[in-house]
Amino acid sequence: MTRIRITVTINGAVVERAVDPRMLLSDFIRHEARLTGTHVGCEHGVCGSCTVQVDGSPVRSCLLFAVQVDGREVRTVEALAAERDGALHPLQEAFHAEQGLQCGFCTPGFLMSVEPVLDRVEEMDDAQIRALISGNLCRCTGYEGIVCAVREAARKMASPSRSRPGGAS
Amino acid sequence: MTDRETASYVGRPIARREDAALLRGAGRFVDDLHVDGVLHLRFVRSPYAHAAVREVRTAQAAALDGVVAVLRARDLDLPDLTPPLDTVGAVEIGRPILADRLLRFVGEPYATVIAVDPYVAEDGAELVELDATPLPAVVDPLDSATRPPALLHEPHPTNVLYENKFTAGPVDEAFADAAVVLRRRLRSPRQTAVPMEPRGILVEPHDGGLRVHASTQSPHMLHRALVEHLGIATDAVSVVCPDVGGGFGLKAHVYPEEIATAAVALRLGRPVKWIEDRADNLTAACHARDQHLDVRLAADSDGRLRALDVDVVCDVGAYGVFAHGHLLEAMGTPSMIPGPYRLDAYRFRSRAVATNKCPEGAYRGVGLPVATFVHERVMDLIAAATGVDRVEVRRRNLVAAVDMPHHSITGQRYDSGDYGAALDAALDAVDYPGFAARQQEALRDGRLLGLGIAAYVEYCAVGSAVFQRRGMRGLAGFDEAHVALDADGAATVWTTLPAAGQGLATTFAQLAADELGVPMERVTVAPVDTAVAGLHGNGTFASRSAVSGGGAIALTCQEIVRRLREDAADLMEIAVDDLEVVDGRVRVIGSPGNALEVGEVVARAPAGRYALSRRYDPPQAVYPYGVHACIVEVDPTTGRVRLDRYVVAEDCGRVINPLVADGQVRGAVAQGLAGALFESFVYDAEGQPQTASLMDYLVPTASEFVPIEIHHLAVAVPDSPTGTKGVGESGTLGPGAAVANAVADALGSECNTLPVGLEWARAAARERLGRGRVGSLAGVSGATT
Repeated sequence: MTRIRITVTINGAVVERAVDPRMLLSDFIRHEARLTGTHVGCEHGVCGSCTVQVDGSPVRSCLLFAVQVDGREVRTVEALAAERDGALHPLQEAFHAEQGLQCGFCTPGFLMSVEPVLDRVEEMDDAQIRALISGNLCRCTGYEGIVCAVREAARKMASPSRSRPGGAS
Repeated sequence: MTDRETASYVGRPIARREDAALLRGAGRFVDDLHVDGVLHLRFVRSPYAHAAVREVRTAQAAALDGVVAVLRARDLDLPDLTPPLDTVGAVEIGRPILADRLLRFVGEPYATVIAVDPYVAEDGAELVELDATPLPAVVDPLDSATRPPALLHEPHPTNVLYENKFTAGPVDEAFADAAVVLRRRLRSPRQTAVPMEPRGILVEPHDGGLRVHASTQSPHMLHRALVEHLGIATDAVSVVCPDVGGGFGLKAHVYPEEIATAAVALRLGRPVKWIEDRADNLTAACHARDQHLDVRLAADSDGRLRALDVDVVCDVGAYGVFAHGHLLEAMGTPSMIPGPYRLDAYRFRSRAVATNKCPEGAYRGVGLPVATFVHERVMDLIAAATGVDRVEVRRRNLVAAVDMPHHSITGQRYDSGDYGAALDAALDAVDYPGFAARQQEALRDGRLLGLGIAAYVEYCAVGSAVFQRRGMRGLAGFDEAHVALDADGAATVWTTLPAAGQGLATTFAQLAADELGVPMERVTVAPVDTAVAGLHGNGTFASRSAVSGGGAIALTCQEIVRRLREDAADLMEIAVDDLEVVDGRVRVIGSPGNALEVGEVVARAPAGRYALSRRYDPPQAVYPYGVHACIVEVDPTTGRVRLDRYVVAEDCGRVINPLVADGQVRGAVAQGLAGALFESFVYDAEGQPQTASLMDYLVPTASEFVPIEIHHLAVAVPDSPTGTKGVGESGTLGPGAAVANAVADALGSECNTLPVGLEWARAAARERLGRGRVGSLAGVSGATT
């Protein structure tokens, strides 16, 4: 198989490799760039565990070939805290506070799916938030903690001084 | 034992320690572990449900660039993986590590390809050629039990691998003179656990030994199986649990794939990794809950249950799982069909029947969600037949709090609880008295609401005595803890119970900190590693970690505290009884300034005095219980069942961490609801799986659920050293029954098959509304009220 040389920016760092055309983006991120926070749960685009952002939009990295992101910017779960000098992103903090995770395998996918649209969440009702995260499967939590975490994170992002429902506005 | 009045950490909603790494993407699951030179293994799996192998051609695969080896059963030459069973009525059935001459289910591995990368291994697997003669596929378990199209395990003369007949009390007399006698067939669907991380193992050979990282709930069981199967010294093996991405029972077993991977690593002398893909996980890991039940009940006109006569057929697939065997549900379901009710006359026949399907194993709740489905349908059937309100029927039959402990007719000893209080709590939450009016009002608008109730009781944290009695020789039943205090006063805790999302690094630290009298931040719970301190134990299944692991931690810490006080008494020249350990200091009671740091006492003691292990073997099971109540609405156009409310009133004893306990309940209820409404693993008539992807096997998303409301009761638990009962599985028991009862209530039509079928519900809804238009409203009130 002829390898193809690609250059991908992952979390701000340039990764250059010659890869087989059939290499999945998920494998490229995990095994070439050695960023293992992105998890592979089904390899057929249903579970959403492998979600990363390409040029700012959430994508299933198991449904893309690495060669398809040549020259593009990929952002993975590791970026969330790294971009804040190691401090957790408000969405991560909310997942912690609201019990939005148990085994944690699906969690990076939820974070990367929701993070780009957090600014739209404040206007959403419960059913809309549930629809928003319905592209990702979680087997541990029953989703309730995740719904609460997304709502809380959006509230905090919109108005950092407000912390909890019922708090001063 | 810690004085519960002064517990500092137990009972508090402490946010989990596990979260930070997982949220950053810094968790370490088995496929995240990188080893230079690692080889990747792919299993070649049977495309036939049942076939005789004529020839397997591997030359083309072996010649592929990057393929290191292609191995078959005769190359590995390993004994079968045979669950050791001494159970009366059960046969021991061996399971090949790799199938050789006979293929018994679609997905069964018969060869393995080892390559330098997983893509090449998969290429190689496609080049392995199988020449086999299809045999008749055994798909229907009822046929398999009586007139099998083929036998699966000759020379065993039947496909019935376990049969148990039980009679107690005046069954025939009750059926002869009871006012109500009914017979129904109930069906529980085949499900699978679907942990988001499939199975996986990394094996590194070294000096004749093996270092293993495995995504497992039972590392010590795996350790023993590797030692026994591969003939290596027990101290040459270590099994370490990295982060485990969900287990739910599916990872409680030792699988042929794990043994094969280790055997290949030993043979090649190189590290080997096997990471399962989702299709293999769905078709070839383990399934559960596939049961056909024929239920006869006798009841008095006042709603009292007189007798049950039940025939249970469990479709266990092609083999048993290691080390549990093939009788988990066939034994568990009928033993708990009496549920939380008094029953004086009971007969059952229970059979585990082999078919050409994926083997059945443990799945959260094991046989008990099906038992609950039976006894809760029974209660509603009695209510419908007698006209006694369904709540009143339950009240008349529940075991009373004053009768605890209660010995059930099947020999279970329900240890403690107030079942009536749980019923009250759940009914209050859903406003049961007000519901009938709400239902009538909705019906006038053409909307179909229903309310369902499910009471349950569950056994958990069973010890070695119970496993021995069941004949399950391969299950330890006990657990062990090792605690080491260092000269800085910091404690490290090792146990035999890995977590797969249960938060044990947090809750075990809470328990240990309280027992030791040290600040929680000084306590670390280490990952499970079978090489540490020679520990042995059961592993994390049967809702046992808080009771059994907690018990082992408590016993170990109590001995450490005893030694701290003894040594400090010598150092301080004061009586032992005048000392207590609080906040990391051994201090004089009533004179807290007069104290030694824990670390100082450790530093001055002989080496090893503060590193010790203890075992806890639960003398008997403990019995969590509760009542679920739900309200549903059935859409007459689609048949879709929409959840409106879901309430849990449950008693798991003393709650170590409410955040963690509620998370366990919510997750378990969600899995129960999935089985009630969506999930069913389907085979066609040839034994071909029809639901081998997540597009076909319907794991629900967030949009299918509503918030789950939880109310905790906490009746004292005398038989648990930590005051806890289990909480990991109980949430799965109620949903199937509660939803079936609610749907029946909404439709006025019995719901005895799960998951609720859309077409059935749509037809029943239309009939109900049709009747509603022509009949008086009184005539269409809930069928069970």
